[in-house]
Amino acid sequence: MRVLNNIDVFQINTVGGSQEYYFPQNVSWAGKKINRIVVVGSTSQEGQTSPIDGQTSLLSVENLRNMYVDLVGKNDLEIARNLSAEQIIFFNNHIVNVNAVLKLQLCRFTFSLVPESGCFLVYVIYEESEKELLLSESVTIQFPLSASADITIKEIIDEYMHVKIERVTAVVAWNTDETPFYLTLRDEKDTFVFNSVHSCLMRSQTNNGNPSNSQIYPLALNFKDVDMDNSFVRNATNKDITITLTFFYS
Amino acid sequence: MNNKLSGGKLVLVHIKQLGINKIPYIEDLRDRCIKYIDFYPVTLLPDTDEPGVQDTTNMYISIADVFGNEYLIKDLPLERLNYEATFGVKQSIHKKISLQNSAINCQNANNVGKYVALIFWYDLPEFSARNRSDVTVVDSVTVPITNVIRYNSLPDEERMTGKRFRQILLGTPTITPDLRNALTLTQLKNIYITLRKGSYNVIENIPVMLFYQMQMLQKSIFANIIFDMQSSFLTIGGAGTATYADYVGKSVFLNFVYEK
Repeated sequence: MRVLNNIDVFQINTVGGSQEYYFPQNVSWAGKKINRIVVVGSTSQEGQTSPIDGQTSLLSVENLRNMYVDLVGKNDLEIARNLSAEQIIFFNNHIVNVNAVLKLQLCRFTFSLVPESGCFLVYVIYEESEKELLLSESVTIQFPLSASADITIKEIIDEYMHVKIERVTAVVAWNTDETPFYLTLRDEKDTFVFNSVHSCLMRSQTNNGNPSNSQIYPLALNFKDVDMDNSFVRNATNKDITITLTFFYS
Repeated sequence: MNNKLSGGKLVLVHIKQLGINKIPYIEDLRDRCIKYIDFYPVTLLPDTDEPGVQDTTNMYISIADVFGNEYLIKDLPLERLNYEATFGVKQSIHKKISLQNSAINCQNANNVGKYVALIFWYDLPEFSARNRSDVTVVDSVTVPITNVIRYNSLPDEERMTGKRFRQILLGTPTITPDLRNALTLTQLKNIYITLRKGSYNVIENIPVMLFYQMQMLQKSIFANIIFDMQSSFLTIGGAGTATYADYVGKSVFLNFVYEK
């Protein structure tokens, strides 16, 4: 099973009718081998906001259909030219792999149609590995969360879970179209990066019989020594929702 | 078992009567290892104005072994091969078969006179190869639709000349990167692609919708196939008999993943 070790996010604001947006350069994963890049927009009717600034609205996925990605490797090797964002959008069951160190100043997103004003999220998965994980123990929890509020994993455990988890091996989110949220996991030594991961990346459920909204495997990770006080779930919408989340642990 | 695709060919089976309808003999598929068979439910088919079968109720397929003596598959409901119903999870064959001894059993009177569109994925070692490198490159092609009856050639992109291709991915933008209007998803269902190397059709009349992978549960990977862009083309189903004004002037957008 493909196990992700680190997943980071950045936000691109689409403003002023510009059709070209470059990757950020001052990031922790610069110079590292990138496995996959996933773009996230909004599919739900609920107004979703970015986890980075907490206020900019996510663009609808319709805007992202007219977006393309150019990727250049560290040796000026062109890795992708006009790769349709559909091939790396979160509901694609077969995200195109990158598997290269990128020259970030030459990597960019372009739109063939001026996008609406808002933002989209780009998740960068790096240092991924192949591991045999036995997903046997799990706990599923359901809890309410107020508009734009967050709740720590410690509070979730104390109030709803009553099971101590130290090593998370996979997560599954349910009803991700109706109840979107962000999950941030931190460990005590800051070994892993799992920043504001949108629930749509953890989906594992068919929606109206459409398998494009399901994943064959849950989002597998190998996250040890979770820092309960600094790991949290954040409501991605401006309304009160009830979140259903499954943790696989050992 | 090698699951990678190399050759692909659309075969139309004329449903002349209720009961057994033989699959036609195709020379290109003789003595070839057939990997998978897909059924494509669509009305407009390439090179013919006859309608295609969409309703698979009471339709069955039987596939005979290479000697024609016994059936590898006997009366399998055609729906099992319908890529829309199986979400791209292909029925594995991985054997040589005898096409002329294989048949479709039609017990649905509404389908008599129509054609069943079957896509045979077969082993084509002459035009495919093993991986030589882990490095792949993604490139794109916009194919303008200029002609509804004849061929719409792929642009001759020099940077893709002589490459070994691993994936073909259909995109469904409204505007392509070179600012052309793209065909809608409904229109794309009537578009077929032929990829040629020299005078051989490596991929022949395959519906481009089979390359719309995002909704599928099984990914299609090609075994580093080779073809010439300048002799490859797209066609529109229906042989020019329907109204196609909406197609001309628009484009089809494809991403190709090839070995560096």
